[in-house]
Amino acid sequence: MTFLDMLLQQSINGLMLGIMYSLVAVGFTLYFGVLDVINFAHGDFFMLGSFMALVLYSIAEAAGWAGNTFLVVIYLFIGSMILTGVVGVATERLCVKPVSKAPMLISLLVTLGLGIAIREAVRILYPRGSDPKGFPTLLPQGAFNLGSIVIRYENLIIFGLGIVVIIVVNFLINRTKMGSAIRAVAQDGEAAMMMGVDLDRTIDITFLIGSAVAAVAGIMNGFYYGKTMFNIGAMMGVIGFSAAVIGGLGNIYGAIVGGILFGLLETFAAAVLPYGAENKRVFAFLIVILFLVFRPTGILGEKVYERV
Amino acid sequence: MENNRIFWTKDLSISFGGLVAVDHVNIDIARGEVLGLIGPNGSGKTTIFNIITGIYTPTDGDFFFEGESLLGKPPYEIARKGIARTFQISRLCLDLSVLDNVFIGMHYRQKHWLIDAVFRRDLLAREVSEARDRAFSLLSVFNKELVGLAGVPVGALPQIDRRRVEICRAMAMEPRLLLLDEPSAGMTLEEMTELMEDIRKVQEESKEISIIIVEHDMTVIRSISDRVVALNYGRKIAEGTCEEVSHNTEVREAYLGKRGIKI
Amino acid sequence: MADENQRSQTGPLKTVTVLGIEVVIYALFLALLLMPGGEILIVEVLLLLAALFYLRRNPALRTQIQELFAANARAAWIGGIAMMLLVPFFVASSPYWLFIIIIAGLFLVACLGLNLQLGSTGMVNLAPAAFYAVGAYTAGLLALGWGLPAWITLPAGAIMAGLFSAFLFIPVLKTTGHYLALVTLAFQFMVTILLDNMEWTGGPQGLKNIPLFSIAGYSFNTDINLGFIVLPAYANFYYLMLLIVAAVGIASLRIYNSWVGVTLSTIRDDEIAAQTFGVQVNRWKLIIFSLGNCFIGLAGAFYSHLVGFISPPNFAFDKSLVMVSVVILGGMDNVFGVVLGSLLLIILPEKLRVVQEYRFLIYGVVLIVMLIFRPRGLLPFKPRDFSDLVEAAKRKRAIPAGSEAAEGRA
Ligand SMILES: Nc1ncnc2c1ncn2[C@@H]1O[C@H](COP(=O)(O)OP(=O)(O)OP(=O)(O)O)[C@@H](O)[C@H]1O
Ligand SMILES: [Mg+2]
Repeated sequence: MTFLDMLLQQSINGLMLGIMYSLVAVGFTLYFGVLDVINFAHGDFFMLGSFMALVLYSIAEAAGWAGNTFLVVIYLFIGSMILTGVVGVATERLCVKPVSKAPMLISLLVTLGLGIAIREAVRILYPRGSDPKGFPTLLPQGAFNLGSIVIRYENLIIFGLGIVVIIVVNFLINRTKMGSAIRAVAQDGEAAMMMGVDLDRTIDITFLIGSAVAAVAGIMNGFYYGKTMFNIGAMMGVIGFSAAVIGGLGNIYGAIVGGILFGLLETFAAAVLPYGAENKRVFAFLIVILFLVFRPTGILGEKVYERV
Repeated sequence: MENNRIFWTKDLSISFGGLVAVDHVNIDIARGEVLGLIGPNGSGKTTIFNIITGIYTPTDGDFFFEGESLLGKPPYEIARKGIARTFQISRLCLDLSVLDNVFIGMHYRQKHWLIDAVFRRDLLAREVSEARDRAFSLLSVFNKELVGLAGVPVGALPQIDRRRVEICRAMAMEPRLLLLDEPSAGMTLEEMTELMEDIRKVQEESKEISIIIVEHDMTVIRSISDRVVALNYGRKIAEGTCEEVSHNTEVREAYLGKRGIKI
Repeated sequence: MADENQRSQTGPLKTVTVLGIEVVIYALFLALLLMPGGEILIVEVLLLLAALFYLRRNPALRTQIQELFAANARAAWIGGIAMMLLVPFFVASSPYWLFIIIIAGLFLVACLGLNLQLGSTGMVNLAPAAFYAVGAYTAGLLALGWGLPAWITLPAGAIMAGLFSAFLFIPVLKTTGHYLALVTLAFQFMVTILLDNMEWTGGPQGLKNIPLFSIAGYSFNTDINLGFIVLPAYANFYYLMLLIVAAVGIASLRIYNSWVGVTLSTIRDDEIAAQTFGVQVNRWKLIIFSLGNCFIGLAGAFYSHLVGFISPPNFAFDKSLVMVSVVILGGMDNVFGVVLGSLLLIILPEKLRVVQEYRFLIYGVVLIVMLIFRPRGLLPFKPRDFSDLVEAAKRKRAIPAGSEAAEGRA
């Protein structure tokens, strides 16, 4: 394999991971937009999504209609999106919105607490929840070659799905009435309210979308690694938040770019740097810190002058 | 005049993105003078204060205090030269007591440091009790009752008292140039006159101090300032005595066009 | 008038009342530790809630109690210290709880450092456990590698944690709020990952057989035989911990109650205002960030000599989370709040071991509920009161002639 091939192969792997990170980052950015809150529990909705899919799958198996893989996959995604979305809205009402006006440290700690609660609830409620849980192989296995690069069907499907979700979210935000409400609230909540936007409903919908998209990422992650575990949310939360910030907090395209960048950083660090494989995230986080110092508004954020 | 001036600006300008908020403004102020700074909303008054105190760096021009350029100096250094200010939207620490808020105005005169705080309590005790006496005498210039409220969090005080505390905090620095940004904003007419009385008292007690005061209300400006500068869209459009400026056509147009204020 | 009030609050009867209140709290605390089973916990939590509710309904009683303690501060302190010293005697039969109390003490030291950053100055630090790790690994490596004694490794751990702060100096100055939270969060994860992967820190196995304390030939691993009672070996650690807690606690109290405290509060509440009044915000931030991490590192160093075995999971993000919750739940910028917070958050979860399975779930839920309903913590920030200091200064300055005049002025 030439160096160029290696680069290409890594790019493809990086894009794969990156698209999952993007989906998580979108939630961070959306919530920050409408509520000015960083929801540190968001990573746990990613995890929750994968477990919801497992539950739905076992129901399907028990009912004996797990045969048609194509339909089952769709059922898993849609079902998990709905369930996770509902939990997302419920937690938003119970504990995220009540602290959105509080000092930043309070909202931070409350959402961290929420993350713990979700994680632990999953661990306790799911049978033998402390162990890693295998994910069913439902996507087509095998691979094809493109030159000397290997592309697995499964990865291609996951990647394609990620793109589709991003397009749908983009459509929802930019082309629908609901989306324009979300954008209006993100601009200026009070002004939006005076223009007749139902603030509470808009916030609910934002959390519904955010959690559902995180659930998609969680299931994709499950298929990709073939397993899931109750505690994968914390790290994913930090990665999603990082990606959202690299891209420019509050900007959806920024979140997508940031997620992909983070994925690429990780895979290249693993491939190129000495001791890269185990320390790839150290490198990625280092870049994040540098970003925060030298370009705190992110790639797509615009320069703001602090008003006095 | 020329020799007596304590502060002046030279073609001071700043722009945010495309917006030119302050455009080649030249103002100066003599020792002991009270200069009124007027202009419609968004004309750049607060921005000038922010430049003078080092919060914003001007994109062009320079400004001098006691003959020395302050361009590019950080806010704390400018403060130490002797320039104090109040803010248009009050920036007191609402959780802290009145006394603590005034104390911060004396911050840089204290010799006391971290090591002393832990190991030399006697030094601290002496400094604190002196500082407290000074704070009390400052507070009592404004309102005798404030002395009794010294231990109360500022957040529990009414608006006018907060303004007073803010001015006390600035005065505690013993500045030679004091910048007051709409000190009477959000007050009733009576409260406003009361506050103006207080400010005049402060002026009389230390003749040395020069004050630049931003105000919308012309009666207030008239009652207190020796000279007035008017701004519009970041440019100086008039300068002179209160009478002169209020009869200036450009000033009248600027105000009438914007808010229809009676001058 | 205040003096009148004070006078009526002193006298032998009042002193006894103060001590009585302390003894009751102490007894409840010991009962919580020593009674097996979870019932006592439920009873005491209910008692506590009832007391809080009652005090809330009767603010007069509350101020009366506060004044009582203020007027009898000396007696209260002496009583409190005596009870602290006696703890090992009462829990001699269960070294496990003595160990937990020591851990709570270490968290207290670390959280006092964190409180300087988070509570006093408003700098978000989500990586205290990373600096705890720096202290612990420094002490462990020095003791294992070079056989250095504890009186060197402890300060070395503290100083090294302070030096490690330099990695974050630029971000601390350039970012605030959510962004600083992310920086420190990233740092926390970087440190845990690196600890896991580096060979010279022992990788995932960590450091084993770190020598326990021994000072001037006296090994801390020996029981204390007093003839009528044998105190478990942990008592040695306990008293050393108490000494460190006292030092760090007094330093924290004094910083809070000083010019520096006022400066830090102003930086926390309004950086721009602080700057325009001559405060060198950046310098103070770096000093406090480093000093706070020194405290945290000191606690970490102690920890490694206490348990003798450290590994990366001991310093993971959840430890940071506990420390941050201690400060916020206890009360930001309030030393007594941090004391209360670390006692509650370290000891109660241990008590909750009876419901092992649900421990963390309860923890998360309690965190949420507490913060939504009491966002300013159990003992919130109180405006400073310098009158003690001023009184002291006056007494010194004007004995005997001017004393009355001075008081009249105040
Ligand atoms: N940090 C900033 N970023 C961008 N624009 C700013 C900033 N600060 C001020 N401006 C702009 O500069 C112009 C002047 O504002 P400034 O606050 O100085 O006006 P002002 O004369 O104090 O008005 P007012 O009477 O309303 O207080 C305004 O158009 C304002 O929007
Ligand atoms: Mg203004």
